[in-house]
Amino acid sequence: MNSRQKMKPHIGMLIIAALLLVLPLIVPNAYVISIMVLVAIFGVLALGIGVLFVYAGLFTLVQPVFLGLGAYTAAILSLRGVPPVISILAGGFLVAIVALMIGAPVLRLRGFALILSSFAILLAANIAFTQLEITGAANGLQNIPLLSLGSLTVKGDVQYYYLSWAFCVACLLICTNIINSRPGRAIQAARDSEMGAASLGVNVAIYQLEIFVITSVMAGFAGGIYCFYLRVVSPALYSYDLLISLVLMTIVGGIGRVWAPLLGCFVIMWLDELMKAYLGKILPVMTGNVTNILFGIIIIVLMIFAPQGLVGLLDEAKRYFRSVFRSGESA
Amino acid sequence: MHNPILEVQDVSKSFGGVQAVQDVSFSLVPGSITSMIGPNGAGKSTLVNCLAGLYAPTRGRVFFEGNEVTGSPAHKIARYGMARTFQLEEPFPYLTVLQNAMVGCHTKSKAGMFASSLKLPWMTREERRIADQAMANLAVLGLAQHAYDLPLNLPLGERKLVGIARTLGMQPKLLILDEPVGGLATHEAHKVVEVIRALVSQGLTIFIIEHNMPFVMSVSQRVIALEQGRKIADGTPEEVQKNEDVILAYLGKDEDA
Amino acid sequence: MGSLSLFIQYLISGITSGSVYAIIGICWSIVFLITGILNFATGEFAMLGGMLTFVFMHAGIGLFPSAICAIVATVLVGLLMERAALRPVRYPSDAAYIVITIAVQSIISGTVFLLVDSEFHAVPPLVHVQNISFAGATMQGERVIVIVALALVTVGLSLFFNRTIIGKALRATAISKEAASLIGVRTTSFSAFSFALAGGLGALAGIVIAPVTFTSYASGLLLGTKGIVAALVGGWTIGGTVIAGLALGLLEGLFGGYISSGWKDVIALSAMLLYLTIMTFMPSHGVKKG
Repeated sequence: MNSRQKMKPHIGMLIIAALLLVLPLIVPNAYVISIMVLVAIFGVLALGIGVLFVYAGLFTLVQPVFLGLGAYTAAILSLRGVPPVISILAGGFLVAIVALMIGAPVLRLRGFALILSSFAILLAANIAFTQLEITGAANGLQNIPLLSLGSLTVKGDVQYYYLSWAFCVACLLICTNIINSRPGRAIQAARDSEMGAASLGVNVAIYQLEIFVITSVMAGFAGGIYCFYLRVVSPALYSYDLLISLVLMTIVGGIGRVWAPLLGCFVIMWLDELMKAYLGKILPVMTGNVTNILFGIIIIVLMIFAPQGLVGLLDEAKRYFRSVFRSGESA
Repeated sequence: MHNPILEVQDVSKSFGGVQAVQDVSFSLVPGSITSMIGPNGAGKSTLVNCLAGLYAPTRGRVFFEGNEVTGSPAHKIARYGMARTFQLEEPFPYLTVLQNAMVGCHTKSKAGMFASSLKLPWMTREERRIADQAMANLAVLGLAQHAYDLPLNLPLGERKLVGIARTLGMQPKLLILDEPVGGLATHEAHKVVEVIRALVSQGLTIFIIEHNMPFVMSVSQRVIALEQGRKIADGTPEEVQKNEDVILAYLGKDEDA
Repeated sequence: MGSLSLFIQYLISGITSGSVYAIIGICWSIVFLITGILNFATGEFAMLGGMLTFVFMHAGIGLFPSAICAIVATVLVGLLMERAALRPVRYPSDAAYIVITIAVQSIISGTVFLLVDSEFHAVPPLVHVQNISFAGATMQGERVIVIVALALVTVGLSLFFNRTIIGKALRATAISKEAASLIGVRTTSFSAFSFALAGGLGALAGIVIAPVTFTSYASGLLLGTKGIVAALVGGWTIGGTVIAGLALGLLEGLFGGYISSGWKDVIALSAMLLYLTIMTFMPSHGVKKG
């Protein structure tokens, strides 16, 4: 967040980007690749939650709703013959409209009213998905067609890997650019002091609405990709459990960098897989409910001892080492 | 007087049953330095919030450069050129001093979410211009060397100056300072006086809310006194100082400078 | 069944569920007023009441002792939660506490899922009461118990808060934590007490409703949500929460009966959204922001 550090790509970022690029070649394991696809998709959601909470100061929990809305719209349309790419775009468009309608009143709420409202919206959306005919009710929709554009089709884990990560990186770049610029400063100012920001000319309500809609549309598009990847949509996928995981990802990732939630997403998704693999052997059942126990404990431990998360801890470690070795740079 | 920069007509503000400000009227001459004094609870901050758009007056009207701004929201009033600092609010704590000042340039720049997300060339050019302008504003207040520090690492005096530096980005025509020297050491208060005089020489109109009588007497051309929401005196510092109602209001007030 | 009897039947089921929402809403209120924390795990207290009673009965203990054990166990859970998850927080903030209580909610329901099972279970009513019939509708005995429980809880709490020293001290804390600690009230033990009380009452609610709606590991979320709606709309007072809870239950009962039972939960959610939105936009002192 220091404007002196120009946005020159950090050497670490380049290494990670390179790794991501060649991963399917070094580790040609379909299982690993498929998990990474999910990391990219849920990472976009975690990114959105992180941006909204850390930089805009808005604690909303509605991302899963927009993931679901984008996914269901894409599914419903493509099952009726609409070209898949158009279906995804339509999903994003619908999400934008809904986000505007929800955001305008809800973002004016403060403190616990905002959280409670987003909670209510989340539960209501889940009920809607489960009850409506058009969304296939509790069973959802199956046999969604392949994602294709003309004669090009996206098939298989590797292709989805590149598609989802390209999208995820694009979202990250967009968010980073916004945060490090005029609207980003305005949003952060509004987070710290609405009165102060308003007195400097910032139209707080509009900026908050804009960032909310942008992150929501990202979630909507992620939902579109998700639906074509799984070729199935069902209410269980966009439920309260997803929310717990997302909250955990954001906390684990921590504060300090825009990409922190992506790190958190990576860590948590793989932790989840590890738990399923090892604990699944000792425990009779291993479902989301059980992993939630561990997730819940981790959340509590982090909130008490390290609310700044991994990235925050990394920053602290860096500062500590710098002071120990006295490199002469100021913080 | 030729066109006043600010005209306040019978402004009143009540909260539930409490009348915080009652029928206050005055005008400000462009380029002048006016102070508003009054004991705690006199309604000074409430009045400022009514002028600056944080509250809507219950009654009365406010005109800025001839345009009616009564009840306009704060961010719109900022665009007209009325800036204000806060008595208690601190600079944005998680932005550097420079970034704080850059927020001040918000009204004089255009890049929105779209242009920023794609980092369009005109947006990067504008960013550079904003940064330069903000740096210059910091220099006016002697804060340039702290540009990359976080405000919480600075002493109170410099934090208050950051608050003023921010407003310069708006290229304001009227600057309202809410308790600019509250809690400051003498040398810090002198700095503020220097800054005020420098700004006025550049054409700004200054309106100060203050408790500190020596400061008010030394820097103001005119003083308005408020008590329990009403204006009780309006004149030169010497006149107001001798005004019986003012003395009564401050019951046992301190000796003048 | 004639249409009048049908109507009365829906009313009865509505009042029954409304009574439970009211009690759970009171649990939210107690914790919120005394500690300022919104406890998202409140619903789980109710779930634990029912499920633990079932578990203890399954282990061979009689109904009444099982119920008592279930209540005690839930009270302990509440105390543990306050002591281990909430008190140690070093950077307290609304968001932090809410996230933690949400985490606790997941832990509790996940643990019950793991240690018990995912099925619905029936629990017998505490006391055998005859079914009452009138106008062609039947009010089952177990529903009567629920309403009686609400009445007892309401009266008991009113007496407690108004007539006992501890109760009055608790009310003082609710009004102002700073003032209370200044006059010597031990606010940390009151925090613990409020969680214990919420745990006990919540468990009781769960035990009396379990014979009517059955209970499972997942019951907590919706029950808790409806409880907060009752507390919110009821203005966090006991009387208000009771009225709001009953009203919510009635609306749900009628809506669920006449229109659609799948959608009836949406009533509570919409009520909450509507209430929050209206409260925010109500003009208050002409302050424009926040």
